[in-house]
Order: sequence, then C-alpha cells, then structure tokens
Amino acid sequence: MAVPVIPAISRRRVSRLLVILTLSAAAGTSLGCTGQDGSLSSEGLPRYAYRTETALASYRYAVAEPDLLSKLPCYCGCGQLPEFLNLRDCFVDANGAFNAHGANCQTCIDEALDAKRLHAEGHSVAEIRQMIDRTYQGRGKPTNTPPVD
Amino acid sequence: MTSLATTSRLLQLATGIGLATALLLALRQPVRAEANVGATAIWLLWWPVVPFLALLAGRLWCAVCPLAGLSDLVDRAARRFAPWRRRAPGRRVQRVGAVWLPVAIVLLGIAFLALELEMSGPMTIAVVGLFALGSAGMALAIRGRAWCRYACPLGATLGLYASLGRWSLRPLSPPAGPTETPSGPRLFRCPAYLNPRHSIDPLHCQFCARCLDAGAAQISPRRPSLFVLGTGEAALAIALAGVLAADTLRMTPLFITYVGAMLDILGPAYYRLVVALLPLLGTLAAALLVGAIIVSTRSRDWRGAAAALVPVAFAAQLGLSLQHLAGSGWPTLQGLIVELLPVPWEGHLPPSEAYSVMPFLKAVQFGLFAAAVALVVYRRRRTQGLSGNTGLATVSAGSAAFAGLFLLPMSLAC
Repeated sequence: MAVPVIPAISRRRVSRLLVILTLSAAAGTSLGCTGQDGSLSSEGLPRYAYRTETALASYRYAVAEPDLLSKLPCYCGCGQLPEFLNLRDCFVDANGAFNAHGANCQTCIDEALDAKRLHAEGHSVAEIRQMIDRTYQGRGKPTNTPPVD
Repeated sequence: MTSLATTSRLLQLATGIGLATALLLALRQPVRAEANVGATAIWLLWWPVVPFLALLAGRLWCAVCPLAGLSDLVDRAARRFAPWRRRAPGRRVQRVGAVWLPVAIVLLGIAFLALELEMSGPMTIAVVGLFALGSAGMALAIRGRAWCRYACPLGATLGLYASLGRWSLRPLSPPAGPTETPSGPRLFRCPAYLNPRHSIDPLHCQFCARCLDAGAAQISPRRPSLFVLGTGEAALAIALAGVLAADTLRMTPLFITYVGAMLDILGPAYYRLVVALLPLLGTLAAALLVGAIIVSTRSRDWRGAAAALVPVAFAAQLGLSLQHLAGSGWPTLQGLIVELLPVPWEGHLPPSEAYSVMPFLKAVQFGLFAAAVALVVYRRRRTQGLSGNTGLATVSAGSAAFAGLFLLPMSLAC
C-alpha cells in the first residue's frame, strides 16, 4: 500500500490546536460550576445526593423518616465530630439542612438502607436499633445517640 | 536456571492466590472497613494500577494474570481427555470476538457506573467467576489461550495500549526457520496463535515467554507509535474511548447535574437506566466524533482515526486511574488493613465535599493528554493508511473533549 504524502505541520496549525484546547478548557471550567452550588433539585434534594443510586435512596429515606434515623447511631466514625449525634445528621440535621457527608460514606448509606429495609419488614424501632448495633458495631467510633426504650 | 515461562507461571500462582483471597473477602460483610474489602481491593486498587503496566509493555499483565494461568492449566490437562479440541480458533470465533470485545467494554462500563460493581462483593464474584469460566471453558474447546486472545476485555484493552509501550518481543534476527540446527531454537507452540519465528504482533502477544525460552525471540525496546487496527480493534478503541468519557463525566459535578435533570424528566425510579445510558451515549459520541473527522478530512480511513484515538483513551485511563487512586487508594488500603489486622481504629471521615481540584494531579493529567497529541503529531506518518490530517484532527478533538472534562473539579470519593 502506498504511504500517503503528509504535509508538514505549520506553526499556525499548532497554534490553532492550542487555541481550541484552551477554549475547550475554559468552557469546561465554566461548566464545572454547575452542581457545586447549594441549589436543590425539583425533588427537594441537594445535587450531591445524586452521586449514586444508593446515596439517592438514603437521602430520600432520611427526608421521609428523619425520626427513625435520629434514633440510630452512625458507626462510620463521624462520632469523632461533635455535630454528628445520630444517623440522620449524616444526611440532614434537625433544622432540615442537608449534609454532604452521607453522599460520600458507604457505611452511612448502608445503615440507612438497612434501616429502611427492616422498617419495611415491620420491625420496631428498638429491634432496628438492635440489629444496626449488631451489624455495624466496630466500624468506627459511634455517635453519642441515646438508647431506645 | 529457571525458565521465564516457569517464572511467569509462579507469578500467576501468586496473583491467583491474591485473587482468591480477595474473592473470599468479597464473600463476607465488612467487620471494620467502610465497604466490602474484597470488591474494593480488586476494583479500587488492582484495576487502576494495571494500565500503568502497559507503559512498560502492552499486555505485560497477561504474563502474570491468574486467568491466563487457569487457561494454561486447563489446556495442559485437556490434552489427555479432550481430543475433540480445535487446534486454533476458527473464523467464527474471531468474528464473534471482534463484536464481543467492544460490547464487553460497554457492559463493564454499565456495571461500574449504574450498578456500583466496585462496591458489590456478590457482583465482583460473579464477574470474576464468569471470566474464569470463560477462560477455562474456551481452553476446553480450543487449544491455547483463546479466551485471552479473543474474549478478555482487559487483555484486548492492554493490547491496544501496546502501541505505546516501551518494550515488546521481536523475532531474533535473522528469523529462525525450520532449517535450524538442533542447537538452534527449540520447538514451541505460541498460545496466542502467533508465529513468533516471523513476527510478534504486540496487540496480541501475552508475554508467556515460551518464544523467549525457545530462543526464537528477544525483548527489544520500541518507540511509541500508532498501530494499524483491524475492524474489531478499531471498534474496541471507539467503545473504550466512549466508556472512558462516560467514566470521566461520572467523576465531575456535571454528572450529578445530568442525573438530576434526567430524573426530573423520567421520574425518580429510573436512576439505573439514566446512568446505564452514559456508556452507550459516550460510545455513540466517540463514534460520531470519528465519523465527523472522517467526513471533514475526506479520508476513508475510519480505522486510522480510531487508532489515533488510542493514545487519547490511554491518557484518559491513566488520568482516571490516578484520580481513583488519589481518592480511594489509601482508604481502600486502610480498609484492608483494619479488616485483616487488629490495629486501633476510630473509623473514617470522608471528605464533606467530594469534588476538589488537586493542582499537581491536574498537571499530570494534562501532561498525559499533551503527550497523546505530541505522539500523534510526530508518529502518525508511520501509520500505514492514516491520512495527513485525520490523525491530528482525531487526537486534537478527543484530547480537547477529555481535557475539558478533566479541568473540572473531580471526585475524591470514587
């Protein structure tokens, strides 16, 4: 097969290429601002809740059942920080302000989804607490959540 | 002296033990770690590291891959009890392989993006188990490493990157033929169906080292270049670039904006569908890019354009691997340590804001794309059939698209 004749690359062409790269980079940076703000989706959830399917399900459940999650300790290790008092705080605090911690923490997500499953199966809050304690104890320093009567 | 092939087998045994341990860990719930340590060890530690081996020599991993070792083991055992086996794959296997590999890459992309394969122990066991079954099953039907050559998506991907590796195997010059004296090269069978006495295609060479041991080939340095790709390989390069583009998008805040917007349209129950569309959309975008370049440069060589996409895909994969390792490498290692050793452990605190910019990492990632452009600019002339501007346009547009995404803040909680 004949090898095609290839024109040498001019400086102009290289500069054009650099301009294209710079412009696309600038466009990328400006687009990057989206999703970083504190705006909520039409569902009323923060954008970071959409990172994964399980994160989204956890945030939805935390909004739907804050009372249940507030009675469960979180075992991921966030108990090291004073602002985390229970599992609900990993997603949304008592004033309804969202927290991004839950979107990035598999333990919080797993705990919330386990609580959701157990609740759907008809277990009482005390039973859910017992099972969560049994499953997650040892993962990290727990939050200082009062025991359930 | 131990032969290189024996060394390779021993290393395969070692990686096989490592893989078996990871799979055993994947079977159980974590006790102290954040997530399933078996799954995360495989997908967040091993998987991002493997592409870097291609910088040395394309399919170097195959030399130590436990599944290649399994294929060899079954191949050897089947010599006695499976006389029906074919000596080499027929045309049909080759054609199915050419279609299967791009499809497998897209399916893997969907498994990672929509099903969180990297976190799921059962799914990890299923995927690795299917690969092992495929490897052993094909060795029962065809002699050699038919799985590795025609069906393994990882091997095929590393094979594409072989054009950019520093070393490859070459036949000893002058080529050793059948007239060799008894003191010359010994008889051997290449399990990848190559003829190492005449040429060794780096796309398919699996570094089993049998030709090296037989004295028919040598390791020789090479300069990074572009390969002439077959139809299946070109389709694989396009699918790979598309899936990597989808994964890059997943790592940026644009992803959550996309998911939120799509769920507003489709409804909240369609999360998996929305995310599973991404690798398909990415592949479609990569195919459209190649098509547009072919039309605009009036070239007919879409396979050449796909070949010029390989350095871009490699830069993207290395950049993503670095991002994954920076974000999840240490937490995953920490999870493994606390799960296996009785060390004190207070738990983990993930970053409150997952998206961040690490200037050094960004500089390295952009350096990778610059290297991809430079490679095509200076080496495209050696790619047979690739017309003057096609390669340049492909690598420029591909790199610009990826660089735009890599400029964004990226996730450190992969």
